[in-house]
Formats: sequence, structure tokens, C-alpha cells
Amino acid sequence: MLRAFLYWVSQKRWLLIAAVIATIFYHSPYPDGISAAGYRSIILMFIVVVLIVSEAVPLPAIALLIAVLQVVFAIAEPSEVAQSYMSDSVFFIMGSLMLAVAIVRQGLDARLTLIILSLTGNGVKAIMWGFFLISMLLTSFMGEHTIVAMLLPVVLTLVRYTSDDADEVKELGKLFLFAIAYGSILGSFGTPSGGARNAIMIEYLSDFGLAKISYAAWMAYTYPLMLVMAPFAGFMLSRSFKPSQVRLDSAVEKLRAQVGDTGKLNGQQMLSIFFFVLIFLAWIFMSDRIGIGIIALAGVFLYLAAGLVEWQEINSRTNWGVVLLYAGAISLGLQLKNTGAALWLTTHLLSVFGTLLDQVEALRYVLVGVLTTVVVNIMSPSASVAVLGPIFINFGGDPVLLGMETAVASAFGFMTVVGSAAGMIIASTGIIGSKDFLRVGIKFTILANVLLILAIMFYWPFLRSAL
Amino acid sequence: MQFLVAIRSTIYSARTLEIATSLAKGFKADLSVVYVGDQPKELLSEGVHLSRDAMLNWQIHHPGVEVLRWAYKCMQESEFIDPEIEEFDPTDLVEDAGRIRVVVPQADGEKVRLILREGETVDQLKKETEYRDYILTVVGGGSRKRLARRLVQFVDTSLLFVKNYDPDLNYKLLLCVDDSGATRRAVSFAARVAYFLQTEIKAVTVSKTKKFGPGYTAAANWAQRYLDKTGVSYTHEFISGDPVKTFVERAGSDHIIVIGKSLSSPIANFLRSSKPAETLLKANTPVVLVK
Repeated sequence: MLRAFLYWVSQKRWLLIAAVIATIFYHSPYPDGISAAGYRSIILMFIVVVLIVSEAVPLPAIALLIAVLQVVFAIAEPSEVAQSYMSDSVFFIMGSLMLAVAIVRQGLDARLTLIILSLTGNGVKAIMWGFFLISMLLTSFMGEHTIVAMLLPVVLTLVRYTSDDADEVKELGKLFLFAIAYGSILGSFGTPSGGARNAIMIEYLSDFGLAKISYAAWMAYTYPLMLVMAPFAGFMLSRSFKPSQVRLDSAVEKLRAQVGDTGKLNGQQMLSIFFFVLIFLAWIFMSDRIGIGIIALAGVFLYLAAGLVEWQEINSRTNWGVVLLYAGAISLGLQLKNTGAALWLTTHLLSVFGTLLDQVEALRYVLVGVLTTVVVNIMSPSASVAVLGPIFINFGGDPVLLGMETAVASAFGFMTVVGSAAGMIIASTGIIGSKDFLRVGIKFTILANVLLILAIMFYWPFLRSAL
Repeated sequence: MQFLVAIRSTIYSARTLEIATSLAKGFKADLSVVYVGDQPKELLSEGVHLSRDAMLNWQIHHPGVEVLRWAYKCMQESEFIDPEIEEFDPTDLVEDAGRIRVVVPQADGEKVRLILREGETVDQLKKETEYRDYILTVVGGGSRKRLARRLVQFVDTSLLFVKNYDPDLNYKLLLCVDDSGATRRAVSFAARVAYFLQTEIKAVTVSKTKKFGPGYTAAANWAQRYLDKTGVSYTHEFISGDPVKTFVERAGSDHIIVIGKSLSSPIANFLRSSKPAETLLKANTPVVLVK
């Protein structure tokens, strides 16, 4: 009994540490310049960050705790909390997770393989670039995990056909896996539908009365940046992972033969592609009127109504806990803004730098980029934006540029397994280790931040006045 | 009698599996092989599950299943299981008690079980040892302080840490005899292993002072009587000095250390490291902690 209790303590130590620290701060005298509700929001943020990073309790439990503590801490009324849990960005998260299930089950991975191989030929470098660019372009519309889930088996099969000797194809496997991961990560900030964090930021900017960013406007900000980063990423990957193979003639032929056996596109697959094109067009032309999330849900409805996917399958494959957690994190983000906690935090953080940030404007953006990158590599992208977004928007410069910067930098989870969905997926193959992420991740993260800062300084201000 | 061996990869777990199979043969025990893999972070887990579903359509299996397939082949090669039995079907998996079990062709009854778990190592091994009545758990490594301490404290079976194991060495056993409650079981375990490996036991009783209390001498006498009865070759020494340091020095790299698991209070073990746990951390050779 005592041992079972001690085991529970050892497993839940971060929950207990968070509870003790939060209790101490809750009962300590509150600092000047912040309301009681604001100060308690910060305490709640601390608890949530510790629990998300440590996973001391299941995700849905964190989401429930956010709602409970918002009311218990007198941060907001129960009805206000309930309302803040549902929004268009939560609809988008829900819809995109369900769409991923619907799309992955259509068997389009074989088609995608044939397209890539017909474009690349049999050379290793060309195939790497093919995986990289196709992942990037498709992810920018469909979402990271959908594309990586579809391409992962293709890559692993190609590697397996190259050689059964794991050592012989280790570098080749890493090169291809990182190609789809990096392509997907870059693509994920290219459009609002590329990642949940983009939708969250659009909603924050709109709710805080700062800007209405349309789908096309977002692309105008981010797509050129994505395209500029792409050759650097591909080059760095090919320099970091050097397989002994130069051409994969036999493996590619075997793969072609395997996917060629699947025959022509069937009606179901054509309908599936047609629906996705419809959804994509609706995102471009209608999302500023009816919302990106509503369109995602409409897409799920089409797939369900046409019988392309069963509800039971969507229900069992969708991680509802993630939806609930994002809902909670967005709700907390809104309260950080509403109670003035976000502003108080940024004011104190900025005071550390004195007038330095006013004198050197770029430093402000460097700071936001670096902080976001660090948090993302520990906590995961969308949750970081939900919690950090309201704080960084208040960082003293142009709030829209700061918000956009936070959303884009939150994609820079190149250094750790937990920094991105794509990274987590390729690590689950057992071929990639933590050191591999650092091997190329550190260099590219620095470069990506530099390019982002350059875009903020020299390209985005032009768009601010033009759009 | 059931043994459990935890494996992680085809590269690093070969020796762990080899020693576990040899011991299971010697003790005529059934052997469960458990692969404990990392669990994807919950916030990002949906993509991992989707990709695994997609991979099944391409006949690509969970990396853990591939490691278990390798373990199965190793056990066939070492003739722990019949080499003539066909290989298992990697798609024939059964989910029970929060783990996945590979359905194995059972010509040998339930002699071998292959289990796939995901999550934190200590948590998964604890759950597995609570699910079935294992006598011994065999794990690799033992150098990572926190992991080793938690395994010793929370996995409620005897534990063999396959640390720096060299298959070409002819290991002797270093048996630590003291007044702890687990010493008798350690002596009996060591005798059985020595008999099976046809090796000798070097028993030591170490006291921090020059005096050896009645508990120590009684334990040493009992051990000598027991070892005489079993007929295994052994020596026994009384040594004054730091117990952990002495065990580690005497064991060198060519002895397997056999020591009783600490039976002191769970709170004491939780707050500070026990003598067996410290020995494990400092030794450069395999260590068995007998419960």
C-alpha cells in the first residue's frame, strides 16, 4: 500500500510540484499593476504548461482543469468559460483531425508515389527533393500529419526494397524521413489550413480587434517565406545525411510495380480528391465570411454523406482529447488577454531590456522568434501558440506582425521529437533518434529564424500597408 | 516458473536476450519477451496512429513487432524453442490488459510469450509484472541512475541487470551474504545458477566495522551449510570495509553479482538509495537483485 502510494507520487511528481507552487503563489501577496483575476490566470497558465510538458495527467484532464480553475479562481463566470471553449478555430482543429482520418483511408498514397517517382526518376537526391517538395506543397493545404502519414509507408518501403541490411540503408532512411518531415513542417505555416496554430492566431487577431486575415492574405505573408526556406532546408538535409547509394533503380522499379498493381483511380478516390479541391477553394474564397473551421466541418460532412468514411472510423481514430485540450488552451489564452495578464507579463518581460528594444526594433522580433522556438521544441506547436499568442501580440511592436511571427516560428520544431507532429511520426519508426533531430535541427532553426526576421523587417511591412 | 525479459532493439538487446534465454533454459522457466517502446506524446499521437494504420496496408509493422520477430528467431537459433516451428504472423496480434500480445505458434505450450508495450519503462514493466506472476525480470543496462533505482524499488520481482555482459567470459558468481531478509533467497538463487553454469561462487560477508555481528555470522553459516548441501564449488570470506565498494572491486568485470533486494522500508528506499541499488549503479558487471 505504502509502496503503491510512493509509486503514485513518483509518477505524478510534476502534478504535485505544480500544485504546491501554484498554492504558494495563490496565497502570496499579489503584485501591483495586475488584477486578482489576471494574476490567477498566470498561475493557471503555469499549471497548464507544466502538465502539458510533463504529461502527468491525460490531456482531457488538463482541459477540464482549465475550465474548473477558471471558475474556482474567479477568473471568469461559468457561462463565459463555457462559451470560450468553442470557437471557429476549435471547429477547425476538430474538422482537420477528422478530415485527416477520412483522407488517409482513401489509399491515395499509392497515387502520390507514382506522381513523385514519375517526376524524380531513380536518383537518391532527386527522390529526396521529390518527397520534400511534394510534402511541403500538400501539407500547406492538408495539414502535417495527413501527408506524413501517407508518405511514411512509401519511404519505408523504398528503403526496405533498397536493402534488408538496416545499417546499409540507415542514412538513406534518415534522409528520406527528414525530407518528408521538413517538407511538411515548412508547408504547415504556408496557409491557415496547414496547421491548427495558424487558425488559432487568425482568431486571436480577429477577436482582439487587430486584423482580419483572410486565407489569401495569410498565404501572401507566409508562402514566399516558405518557398525561400525550402532550398536551404533541402540543401542542409542532403549535406547532413549522406547515404552510400546514388541511384535506387531496382528499389524504385519494385515500388513502381507494387503501386502499379493498384490499378487506375477508382470513383471513390476521384470523389475524395474532388471534395478536397472543393474544401480548398472554399477556404480560399469563403473562409473570411463563414470561417475556416465551418468549412472543415462541411468537408467532413461531405465525406460522411458520400460514404467515403464511416463515422465509427472517424470516432475511433480522432483524438478528442486533443480537441478538448486546444479548446481549453484557447479559452485560457483569451482570459490572459481579457484579464490584462498578458499585457502585464509582457510589460515586465520588456522592462528587463529597458529601452534597448525601442532602439533596435529587430531585437523585439528576434526575442519573440527565439522564445517561441524554444517553447515549441518543448511543448508542441499549437498549444504554444494558444498560450503564448496573447502574450507575444502585446510585445510592443506591430501586434499583427508579432502574431504572425509567433504562428510561423511555432512551426520551427526542428530540434526535438516533440517539436512537431511530423517529427513525432518519423521518430515512431525507430529509425530516427533524438540526436538526428539535433544534427540538422540546430543549424536550420537558426537559419529559419534569420529568414523570418528578414521577412518581418523587409517584406511583411509592405504587405501590412498593401493588404 | 516464469521469467520476463525486456528488450528494446535488435542492436542493444542481443546480450540481454541471450542471458535471459540461457537462464530460462537452466531454470526450465517460461519466458515472456516484452518490447517497451516510447509512447508518442499524446498531443501529437493522432498522426502516429494514422501513419501506423497506413503502414499496415503496406505490410510494414510496428517497430516493436519487428524487434519481437528478431527475438523469436534468436530463441529458435539458441534452440530455446523448436527451430522447426514456423515463424509467427506479425499481423496476428491480440490486445489485452493495455498491452499487445503477438500470437505465437504454440508447439511448446506457453513457453514463450511476445508482448508489445508502449510507455515509460518502469511503469510498463511494473504493469507487466503485476499482470503475470514473474519470478525474475531481466533488463539491459543499469547505469542510468533514476531508471535503475525506480526499477529496483517498484518492480516487484527479482531483477537481473545485464550490464557490460561479455558472452565470451566464463563468469563466476559473487554472492553477497549479510543479515538482510533476502539473503537466503539470494543464496539459493546463486546455487542454482552456479549449478547450471557449472561455475563457482565467491561468497563475501562485508561489515563496515571490524566486528561481525551475530546476524552476519548466522547468515554466513546458513549460506555455507546450504551451499555444502547443493554441492556447488564455493569460497567464503569475511571482509571489513565499505560493502558497496568491496562488492564492486571483488566482482571486477568477470563476476555476476548476486545480492538480496533491500527489504528496508519503502520510504527509506524512496528517499535514499539502498545498498543493492548502489552496488548495481557502481558495478561494471551483471547484477542480480534477488527478491
